[in-house]
Amino acid sequence: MIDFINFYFLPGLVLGSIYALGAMGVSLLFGILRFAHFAHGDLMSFGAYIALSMVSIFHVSPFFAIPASILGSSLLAILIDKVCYKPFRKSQTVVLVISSLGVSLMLRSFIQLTWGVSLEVYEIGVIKDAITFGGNFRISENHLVIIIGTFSLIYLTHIFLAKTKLGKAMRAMSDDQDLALITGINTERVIQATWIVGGSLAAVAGVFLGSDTQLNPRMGWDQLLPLFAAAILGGIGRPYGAIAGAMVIGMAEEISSFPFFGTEPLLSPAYKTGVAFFIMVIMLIVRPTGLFKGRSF
Amino acid sequence: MKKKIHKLVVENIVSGYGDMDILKGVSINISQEEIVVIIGPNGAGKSTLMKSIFGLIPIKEGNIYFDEEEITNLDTQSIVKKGISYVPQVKNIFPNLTVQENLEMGAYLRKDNYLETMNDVFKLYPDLVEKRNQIAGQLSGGQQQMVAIGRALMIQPEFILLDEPTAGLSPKMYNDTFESIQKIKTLGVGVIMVEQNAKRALQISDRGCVLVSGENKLTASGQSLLMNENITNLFLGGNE
Repeated sequence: MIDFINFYFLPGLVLGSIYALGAMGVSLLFGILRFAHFAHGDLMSFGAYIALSMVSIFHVSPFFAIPASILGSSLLAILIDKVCYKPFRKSQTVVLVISSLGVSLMLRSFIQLTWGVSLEVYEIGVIKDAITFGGNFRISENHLVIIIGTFSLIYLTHIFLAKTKLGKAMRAMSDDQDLALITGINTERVIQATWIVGGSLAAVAGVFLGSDTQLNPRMGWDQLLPLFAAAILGGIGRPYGAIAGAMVIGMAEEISSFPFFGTEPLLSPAYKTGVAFFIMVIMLIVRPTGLFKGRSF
Repeated sequence: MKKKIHKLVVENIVSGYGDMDILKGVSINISQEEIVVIIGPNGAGKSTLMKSIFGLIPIKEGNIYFDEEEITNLDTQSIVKKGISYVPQVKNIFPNLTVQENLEMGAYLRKDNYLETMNDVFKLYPDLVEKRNQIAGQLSGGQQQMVAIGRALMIQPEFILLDEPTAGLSPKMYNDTFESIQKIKTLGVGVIMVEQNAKRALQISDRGCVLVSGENKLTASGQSLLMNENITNLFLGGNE
């Protein structure tokens, strides 16, 4: 039981947290702009690499570099929107999807050109003591920061969406674009705000992912499948659903290799990524609108 | 009380989608504290007229003036800022926002305190008070219509455009809606409405405008339209 919590449940929660930050952005952006943003993973990578530069220049913990990552990724997101998505606002969705695929390739190449193609880590050879609680439960400092950080950000995003004028306008626009325009809501400003929120969450997810494993130019792209699986599971366009979906996917990926029967893992850890895909396919067959009735257009 | 009585003047506008003109020269005018009802058969261009005034469909010819200022083809946000609001026939609320949030969105462009206006809306529609924190999409059709009109009132408009506000309502809700529209008029707002139940609408209107195939056939006081045999035979199902 203790092994289950220490080696499967807590890592699942960590993975779910990272997915949640990314999937919330994907879901918010889908609600406002009505297209699947395929460059979201690479926005995560970009945030992670900004932090890498900060770490190597100022020798700080990657977590202290998060503000710089947030700034970098949000500004980049706004710029990308202006150049690559805004001209296609009135076009068919597929045009925007393809455009975002192109953006993702450009971002990845940019990262490869700037930071190189090899694996990088934030801190070399530092093995921190795990924090022990209740006798046998252990959690690494990194993981604790990731989990607490994620839940704080989820709370902040919730406050933003539920209490602020701009956040409410975002939900209103996600509900009905035409009515938002008729009401006098400045829709371009709402779109910009959505990129800032989505870009910031992606940046933090990238730094968390980098600190949990290592950095490589494909790191964000590789998260795309679980991110979309989480967003679809929660009902696309519903940021709160995406959080639940992300936790389910993260947990399922980790727990799938727990030796439920005998001593062999139920599923070889090599198949972890397949789990997200499997859940997504099942969900699309059984309940295509997601757990929390997503949007249909 | 407002000092100046504002006027909205629509002069000979031609508009439509693409190459097709739906309105072929329509004129109406309205002052604050007036109700103008637009009646006419299906496809006459009633909804198109509303959307054209509100800047949602490009106007090819003709002009619209708010007092002396021309507002033809102004962007929607600027038209809302001028003090004109619009309630579409369908999809006129934010279904996943609460009643109160819907009203707050109506005041989006206001920089001042809008709580008093919100209280006025709740006075107009007391049913909404206890539902204020409920998700608007879960309300009954009639209550959703109240939210829709309430949202449009939040900007404190000089003019409000209502597109078939009673469509699909129960008889009781239907009466309540007509009553509330009369109250809106006394608040100093000019109401332009499209209504399928022309008879009832003309009774509360100051003027009626008959639209046929994108042209004004007749504009006259509500009473005289009700007395006009041609009109009653054509659109009002005859005199019983």
